[in-house]
Amino acid sequence: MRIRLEFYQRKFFIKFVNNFLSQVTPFLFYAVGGYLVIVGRLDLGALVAVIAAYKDLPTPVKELIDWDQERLDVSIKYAQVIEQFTADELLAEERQQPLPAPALPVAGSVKVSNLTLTGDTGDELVAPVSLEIPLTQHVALLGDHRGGGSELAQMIAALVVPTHGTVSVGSIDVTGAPEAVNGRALGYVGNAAYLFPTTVRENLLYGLKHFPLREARYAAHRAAERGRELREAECSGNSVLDINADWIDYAAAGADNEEGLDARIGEVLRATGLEETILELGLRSAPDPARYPGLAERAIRARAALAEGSSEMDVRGLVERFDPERYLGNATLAENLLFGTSAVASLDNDNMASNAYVRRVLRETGLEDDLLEAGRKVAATMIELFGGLPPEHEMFERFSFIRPDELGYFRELLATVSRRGLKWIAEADGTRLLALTFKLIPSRHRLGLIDEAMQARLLEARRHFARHLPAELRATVQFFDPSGYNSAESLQDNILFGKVVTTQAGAAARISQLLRRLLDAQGLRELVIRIGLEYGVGVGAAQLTIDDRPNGWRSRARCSSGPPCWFWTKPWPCSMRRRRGASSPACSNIAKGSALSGHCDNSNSANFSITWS
Amino acid sequence: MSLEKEVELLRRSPIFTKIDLPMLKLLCFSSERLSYEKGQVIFNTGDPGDAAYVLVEGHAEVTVPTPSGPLRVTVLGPNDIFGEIAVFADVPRTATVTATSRVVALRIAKDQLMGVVRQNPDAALELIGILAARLARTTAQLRGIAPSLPT
Repeated sequence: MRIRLEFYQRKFFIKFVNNFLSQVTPFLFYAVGGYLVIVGRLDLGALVAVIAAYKDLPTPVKELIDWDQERLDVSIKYAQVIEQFTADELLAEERQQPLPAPALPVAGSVKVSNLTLTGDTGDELVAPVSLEIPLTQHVALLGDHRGGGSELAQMIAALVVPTHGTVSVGSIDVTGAPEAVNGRALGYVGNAAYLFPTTVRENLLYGLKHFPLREARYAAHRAAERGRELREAECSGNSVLDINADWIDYAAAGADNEEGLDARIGEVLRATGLEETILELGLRSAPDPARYPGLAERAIRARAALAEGSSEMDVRGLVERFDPERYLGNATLAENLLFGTSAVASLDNDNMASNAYVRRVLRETGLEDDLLEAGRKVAATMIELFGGLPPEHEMFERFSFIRPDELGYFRELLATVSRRGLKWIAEADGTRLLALTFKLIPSRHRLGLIDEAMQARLLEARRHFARHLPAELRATVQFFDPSGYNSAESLQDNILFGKVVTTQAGAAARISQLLRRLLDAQGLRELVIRIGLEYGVGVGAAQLTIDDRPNGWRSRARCSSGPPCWFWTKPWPCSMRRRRGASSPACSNIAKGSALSGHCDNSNSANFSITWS
Repeated sequence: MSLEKEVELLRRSPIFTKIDLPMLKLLCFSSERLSYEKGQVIFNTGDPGDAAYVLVEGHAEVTVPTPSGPLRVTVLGPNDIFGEIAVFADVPRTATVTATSRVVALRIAKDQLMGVVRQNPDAALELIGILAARLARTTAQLRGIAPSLPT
């Protein structure tokens, strides 16, 4: 905005100067020339001729006319836009004002009187209903999805404006109360609540951000900018609340400070069953060690503890550790050669075959010919196995090294090779063959191409690779170091420090269990949960599984223990019951600290319920 | 063990003898080779049936849960196929299979197996024969223990 204003101002200043200069000259003609004519020093005819020649007058008039047209045009557009923002049923402005700390109802009952809702097409969505429920009770309403139950709940939660009737919660008349009060007092979890594409933590704490409570501190130049923004906001009628301030209402969450809040978040996660997911997310993410001091050391200590292994935490059969002196049977040839992670694409699994340095290493260690031969065998096997299948067959995607459209190329290449031998093929063709070899995983592919002798030579090549790595690549590669933390790998991979043995059935699940126990033993649970909370949920909560999203919504509602009322709609009680086999534990878990007795009746037919705390 | 050896192993099994070699190779290549420890459960009764297994090494026992405890139905050894009932009948697993020693098995996914059998009618006939024999054996077993069951 400021920049545009600047440009605008400068442009018009130049225009002003232009106009002024062009107008001042005729003025001078008239003034000075006229005087000279009157005095008799100048011939009138000469003056008139000069002025006529200097006929600039029409131009500013033309510009004036242009400007006027533009003004008319813009004012029509403005009127049209403003029209879109003036609707009849907008909530009154006073009710939309943010309030710092409104009073909330703590006792009483929910009184609904003659509440009706009529749809846009005139059909009755909710017939006139009156009821009274004390705030200490837990109630379930049963009916199918056309019964109007969700609409009733939404009206009580002040999300939908009723056509007739009133709702009051305790001492507050919901239908007339400001949004600031309704928003704090009532919580609603519907079928498809929204999760913002930020971190999990942000989503959870969203319900606590009602009003800026603690001012943000700005550095000097930022403060001046902030002052400008404030003035701009006031002039244009926008909100002057500072988005950089601390909006989190710690008191409403039942915490005193940030640590207390973290503890409260932990409780909520446990209650809504989201803790395991967050733990999983934390393990899967690759946090920056600089942001979490002590993380690297603790991860390495966990790694050592895992390696020592006790009888309960025996991970030997499940994880193949990164040992510089051994060939990894569960990793690709490329991974074995690099024995680390690379930040550049040219040393990626897929691209290593085309990397010049890698080719050099292979040549210098005498492996190139053998690997090319192996690549030829792989290509031949792939053609044999997949050549007869139709191109859209799913097996191509899942198992074949060669795509359907590449089959023809490889057939020709193999024909050429059988005629002329491997030595005479082009560099690019050689790269394609090597790319196939690089994908081989001995335990998975079992083609018998990487025998013990070959493995020994590849180990030598690994050492050669590391020793002679050129300077510009050195900075991008992090080798697997038993005493170092690799920031490019996930936390889980750092602790395991090895590859999961996929041929051991159930390995992944057992490793998961072992890791949980290890985290508890090393006291890393809170840290991992904190890391997990920073995981981005993605647009439309894409990064969370479908089962976890409702848990996310409930956690958000639950985080603010302020609201005395929450509303769940389907199918929570039923699905929880089916999963746990008993309804009470699930309900009472959620209601820790409040008087929820918890019961879900006739669950199989229940389609939604309203629960009060 | 290499692909060739696995193909050899599969060919010894009656169902797969009738399948042509390239298809068999493809089946092996797309299967997973899994190891199980002694006592590890390969699958439980009631689990969804997503794959058939061929025992390569080791032994396993097939049990059925009854009110009075698991009832051993049979013992499996190398070259035996198990788990195919659930794959073809699209029902949950009918029995529990537990490894009684260190076991190595080939896990053939449902889609792959169905595809192969669909294209090889002889293999399908062979399979029907095996299942029928199994049914006869189970019926005989039931007849054997029928007197001891409560009415």
